[in-house]
Amino acid sequence: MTNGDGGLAVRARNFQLRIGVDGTPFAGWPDRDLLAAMEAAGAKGVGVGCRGGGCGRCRVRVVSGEYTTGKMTRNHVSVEEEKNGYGLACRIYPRSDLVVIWEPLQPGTPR
Amino acid sequence: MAMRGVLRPGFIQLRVLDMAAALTHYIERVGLEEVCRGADGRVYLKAWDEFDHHSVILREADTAGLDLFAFKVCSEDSLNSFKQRITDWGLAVDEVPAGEQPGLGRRIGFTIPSGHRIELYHEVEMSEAHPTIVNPMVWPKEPHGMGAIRFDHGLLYGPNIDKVEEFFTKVLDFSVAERINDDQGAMALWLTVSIKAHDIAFVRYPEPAKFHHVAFLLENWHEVGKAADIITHYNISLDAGPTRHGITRGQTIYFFDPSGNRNEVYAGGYAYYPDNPTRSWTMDQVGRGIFYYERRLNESFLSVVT
Repeated sequence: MTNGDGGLAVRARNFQLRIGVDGTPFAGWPDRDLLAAMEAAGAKGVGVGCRGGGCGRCRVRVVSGEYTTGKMTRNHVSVEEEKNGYGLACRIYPRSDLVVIWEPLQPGTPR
Repeated sequence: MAMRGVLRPGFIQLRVLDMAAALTHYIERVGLEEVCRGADGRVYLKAWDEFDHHSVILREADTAGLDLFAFKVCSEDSLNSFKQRITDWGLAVDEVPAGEQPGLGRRIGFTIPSGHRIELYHEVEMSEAHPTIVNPMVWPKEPHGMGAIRFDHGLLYGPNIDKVEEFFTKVLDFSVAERINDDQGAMALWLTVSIKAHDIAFVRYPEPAKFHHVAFLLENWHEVGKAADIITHYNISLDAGPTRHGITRGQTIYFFDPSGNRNEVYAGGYAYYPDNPTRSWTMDQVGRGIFYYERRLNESFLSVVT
């Protein structure tokens, strides 16, 4: 896998993503995870950690929108939480416009 | 010093979310070699300049992080002696029979006060792809990817670092090469049992058993730059660097495997002898201690662990 397009390719589907309901929107695509879209746009609002679904730093709650997910650590997002709209931004792929809120767990939070 | 007792970090077992992606990363990118696969799905890897059977074990799971960190000791007698000393210090020690991992003899295991499982062993088979011994070539086969020379050290995060220091220095005969102190005492420790500046390190953290990084040795600063080129070429998640650590003086780059476990490849660092004083750092200079050129911590150093 190479990062050949540098984020500049014209893509057919383009969604509006927001961190917080009043957040400045940035562009998202179904094949680019939410965190990568945020970083590529120079947007802020979600902490950037490993970008691999392992550390939980970018844990968010999805307020609105459709999305798919990749495998993420169950230390930070349980099966139940995933059903209730929690996920890791680096493993969330938009299928519509999305609004999310950054809700990382504090270290040592009982699980 | 003639090295006795604990010789070096021997192997590390990591949890990964996606084995196929992890193998591409550790073999094609970092430059390790696959040794074998176990019936339980674990995959055994080694670096090209290691004689022993394996040094990195990957286990697919639904969380990332560290299963265990193991040290090789100089003899079975030494292993038995450590078992007694560890028990006397107050930790419960269990036995892992030979054969639980391919190529490996009997191990002893215990959980240290930071919550991490540590194991000790002596017997291990020589790897098939070991460095040449008679009229040696510089490598048995030309290195690939980043060309990792060996599994070198790890940095672990957890509570009770003061107790961890006491355990490693009084029971396992390590020395503290460097430390960061804050108003609560030891905030971070770099521990060595060899002439390396560190064989294992700890940072105080409220949650037990957390993993910061596993480090692989490279030959020189130029190779760290080549690793950086590979990281960009394959869009590997970069954390920090290329830069230098003030602590240990290693030239370094931090990045993440596809499951979020942090890796380091590094070169250099000073030689430590056990009569050297412990170098110490104060919190107001900690940025330069960790990232010497940037002179400040990045956002992830103290908060991103698996």
